[in-house]
Amino acid sequence: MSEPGRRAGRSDPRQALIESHLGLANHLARRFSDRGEAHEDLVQAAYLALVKAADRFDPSLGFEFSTYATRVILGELKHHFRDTGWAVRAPRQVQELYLEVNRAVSDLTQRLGRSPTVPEIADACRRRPDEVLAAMEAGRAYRATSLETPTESGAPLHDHVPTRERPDAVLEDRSELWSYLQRLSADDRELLRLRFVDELSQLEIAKRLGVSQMQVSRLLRRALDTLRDAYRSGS
Amino acid sequence: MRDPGSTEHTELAIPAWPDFLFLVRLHVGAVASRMDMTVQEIEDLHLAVDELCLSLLGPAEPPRGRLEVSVTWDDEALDVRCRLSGNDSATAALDPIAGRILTALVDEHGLTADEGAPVAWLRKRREALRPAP
Repeated sequence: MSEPGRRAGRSDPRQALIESHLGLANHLARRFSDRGEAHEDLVQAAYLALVKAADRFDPSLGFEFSTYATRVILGELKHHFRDTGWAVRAPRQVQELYLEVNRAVSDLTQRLGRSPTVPEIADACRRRPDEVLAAMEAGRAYRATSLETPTESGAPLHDHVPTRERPDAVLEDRSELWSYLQRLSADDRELLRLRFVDELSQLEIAKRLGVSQMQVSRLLRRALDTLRDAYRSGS
Repeated sequence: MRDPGSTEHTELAIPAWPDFLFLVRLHVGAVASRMDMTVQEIEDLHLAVDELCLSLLGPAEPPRGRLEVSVTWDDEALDVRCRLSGNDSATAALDPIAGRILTALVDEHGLTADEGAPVAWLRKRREALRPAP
């Protein structure tokens, strides 16, 4: 994987800040690596968050960049897991409890304007506080799906997505890419732009479009399959 | 119920093995929830406790010794103290990155020794429940 601070030859304090904190980003990504998501994806998410932190950091607030960056990276990594679904290995009861707790956290956060407490979540879910804590812990252990979702071809979804670590998947010629993109519907092109250019999560896209995350997943898969087929056939 | 102003204390001992850290997270999370800490604070504590304990356990294979975890709390703050016993070769060392992470997650943290056994500790103050700005 290319590291964000080494791209595009930006030799400025921002770049130095990023490069000197890549170790922090890697370390934090490792802390989430026992939860089933590919380590490379976590590192990627952590690096992107580090870049965001460098862009937004305001030294006049009086705390160190590493403190700020840690908060931003952890937030991004947690967000990464909350936005992804479940793999088949999680018992249904656990999945349901975890999803119920997550929904309650979202609802209460919006309603209260702050992070809720465990008793508040327990009340909202009509569960015991220890069940809520168990759900929080269980949420760490199970494998997320996201781009690991198998497509109809059997390969995981992320195999179809060009990334820096798979240069062979990158369409080098932008005009050629544009011609393939033209074969997609306007809606599909917009979907790909939201996911891979604006880097919104599936959940964020779902909220924006007023559909479910599962629908976004299916639509993305279909759009990527269409794009891949067009590319392979050269049509 | 705990009397206002009083201090309470719980203890847990586990094999010095990362696979058992979920018990420490549950232990600390349960206490934090009784203090009415928010989910955000509890998630921070979970991560901080992982950093704290892993700094003691290190990469040793097979794991040796036991990790004794005590949690003390009052109206204002929660203190976690982790002591690695039964491992003569253990040394307390917090790498700089783990130190930065702990600085971001908790109010205070540090390393010390107790009868030759390394001890790592942290303190997290309870935030007042208030709407986000």
